[in-house]
Amino acid sequence: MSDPKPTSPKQATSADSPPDLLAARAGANRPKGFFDLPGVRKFMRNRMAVVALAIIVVFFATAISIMVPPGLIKIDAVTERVGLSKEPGFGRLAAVKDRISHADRIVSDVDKALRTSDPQSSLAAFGYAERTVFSTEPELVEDKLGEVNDKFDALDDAIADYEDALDERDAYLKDIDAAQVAADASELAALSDAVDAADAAKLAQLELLEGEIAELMPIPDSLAYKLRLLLGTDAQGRSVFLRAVYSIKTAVQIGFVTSFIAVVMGGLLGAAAGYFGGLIDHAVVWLYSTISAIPYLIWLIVIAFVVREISTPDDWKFFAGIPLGQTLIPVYLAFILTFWIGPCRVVRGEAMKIKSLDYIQSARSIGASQKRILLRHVVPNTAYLLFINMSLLFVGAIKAEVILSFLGLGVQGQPSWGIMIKDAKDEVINGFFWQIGAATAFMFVLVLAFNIVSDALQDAFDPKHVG
Amino acid sequence: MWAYTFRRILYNIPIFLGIVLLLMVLLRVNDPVYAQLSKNATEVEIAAKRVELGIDRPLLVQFAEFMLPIRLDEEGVHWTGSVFGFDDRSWYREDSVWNIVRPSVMPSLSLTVPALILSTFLSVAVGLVSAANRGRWIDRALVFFAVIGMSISFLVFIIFGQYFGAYWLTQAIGFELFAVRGYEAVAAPEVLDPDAGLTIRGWLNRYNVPSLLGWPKHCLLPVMISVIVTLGYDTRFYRSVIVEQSTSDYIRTARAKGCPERTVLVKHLLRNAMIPIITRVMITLPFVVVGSLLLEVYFSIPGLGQTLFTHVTNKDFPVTQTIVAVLAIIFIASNILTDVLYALVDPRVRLS
Repeated sequence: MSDPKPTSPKQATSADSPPDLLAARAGANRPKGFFDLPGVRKFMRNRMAVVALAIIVVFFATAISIMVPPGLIKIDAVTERVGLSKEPGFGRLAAVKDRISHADRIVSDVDKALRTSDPQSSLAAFGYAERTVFSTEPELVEDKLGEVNDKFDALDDAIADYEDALDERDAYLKDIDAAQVAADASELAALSDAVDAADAAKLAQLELLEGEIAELMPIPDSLAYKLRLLLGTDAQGRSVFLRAVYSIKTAVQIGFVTSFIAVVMGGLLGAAAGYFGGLIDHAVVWLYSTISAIPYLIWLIVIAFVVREISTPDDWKFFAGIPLGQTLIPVYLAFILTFWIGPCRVVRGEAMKIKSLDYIQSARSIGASQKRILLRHVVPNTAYLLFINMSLLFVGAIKAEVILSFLGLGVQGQPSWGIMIKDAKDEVINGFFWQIGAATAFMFVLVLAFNIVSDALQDAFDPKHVG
Repeated sequence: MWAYTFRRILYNIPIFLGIVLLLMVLLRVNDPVYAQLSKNATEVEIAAKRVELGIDRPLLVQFAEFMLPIRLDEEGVHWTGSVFGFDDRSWYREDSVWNIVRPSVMPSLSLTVPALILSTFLSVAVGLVSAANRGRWIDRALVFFAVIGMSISFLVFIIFGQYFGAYWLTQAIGFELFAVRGYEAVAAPEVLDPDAGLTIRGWLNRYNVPSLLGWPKHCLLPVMISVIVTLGYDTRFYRSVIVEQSTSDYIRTARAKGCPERTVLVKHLLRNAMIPIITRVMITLPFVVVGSLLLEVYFSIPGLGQTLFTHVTNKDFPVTQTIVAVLAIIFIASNILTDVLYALVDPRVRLS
């Protein structure tokens, strides 16, 4: 099995005693830096993988800039109401029914603010993010609201007319049979025209009403506000775009923490089991066969469920007294316990093979300690497997988070793609796809990028992998 | 072969014990008594509840009672005749564990067995097509779609599958072809009379076997969704298995002696690819039994996955332990069976 990496820097430099010719040849073939490694060069030649890697870097950068204070997006920004409920994105108009209920909502909200004991300050406090009432003078607002209500009455009349026209046509169709309709189409045509006209009148009235409302609560022109409404709002009027972006942080955090710890744990256990054999090997194999005998979803449910209700000791620095269920720790624990098995298996097999190779024998013969051989020779030579596994586990973590969140055992207290998809479940039946679409699209891009990168990693570093 | 199987069974006993013990320990990390009582229960009530649930005794005693058909108390050992807690009382519903687990097995199987068979055949076929055209556009397109399918959450497939397969389709064709909820057994449970156990119909009812007419309406859509989801992963796996085989010497030999391409693919290649295919199918067997939890939850199918989830979240430990123990046995059995199957499909494999 050809090894893509130099086994250790020591070996490369220890070749100085042979004649110059050999040294020169060795020097010519020796990789000079990270980007000269054959595997890395093979990876960089795969253009799609490089693009995918760039996308992953962008996602990571976004996640870090949200995580590091002051934070690109604050948690308050994703939980506050920025608009009406279930507004579509890209400035598209909602369904007529929803537009009417949006107008109704604004009118009743403003009305509520006016009726408080101190209308001036409640008007000042009221608003959907930056979208506020045009004035804080109660008299002015009252007048405007009167105009809006007039338009609303006119709209109600138009709706009543439209429904009358519809009823008339339906009544006509009910009384008469198909043969008669065919014989005298003119009356039906007239009735249908009346329905269309009433419909148009209704729409015109609705637009007038929306014009008034735009004066009552002008839509801010700022880019920041437009960005928030870019992908619409969810049922509670929160920005779908901000939530989807904030979820990058949740996903990267869960993915990175769990895949990193799982890979380190699995790699070390696997290397130790494969290298030492004997009792250690038996113990590790027993442990992972035991855990993998149960579908991992069941472990996830049991662990996430069990750990959730434990409350943290009061003297913990960061989450004093908070139940563990409100942190991400149950999710981490559940994922790590089940995820370390994959890398452990692979690394164990590789370590068993490496153990009998010449460079391990020579390291042993010069008196290197077991620990040193394990950590300096065995583990680094399985590093490519660890990287491949880490990217596979990252994807696994993101997808498992969605399932746990759907079952109510996952992320709490912050948005995640799983929570968005779960929330969107009922919206889809009503034909509102913005929230599920946004969460799916963001997740799809990240997961696809990881899938492409892990494929390319396998192509470049794993000699056994077939492409 | 029997000696081998026997040795494998012996070897797997510590694994089985480990699974059950690990689960029992995990479930007791949180004291389950508090979940069963109101917040202001007195010490006496808590102690009484503990005795009632049987969790006042040492863990090892509980473990032994679970694993062996015995009951231990001050007077000694009693024979109970039931293992794995099948006769224990559920903590969540007024019923025995067996009565809760029994009707949920068949709904799960009626969902996952067709899905497993369909997806295996389809993905082996697609993998074969893809591998036979390796590097050509059709292969690239298939691999591309497989990766796309792998990158979308299972939940999204289910939500959109329900929307288009049930809601949208019903509106488009005017009648309900697929339903989003419900499950029809051969006959409603209330029809069941105590003596029905003797008849075939009564037996089918006891085990909640789906009715032939109700199955397409309630189970076909989830089966299709599950097949589509699995196709992405499996196609890629089988493709790489077949590609790996296709570079072997025997394939070159077969081609050189003038075998038609079909014979090469089906007779030579597929036969030799049987081992990884069997491994893959057998690995998924335990998952088949627990069913697709998400599908069961979304389509309200009263399967094992949903039962397990409901009872875990309601802190019903007897049911949880029993289901997990049964799953572990199935897993171990399928592992041993896999090795025996190896020997059956490949004469080169000797069990020793």
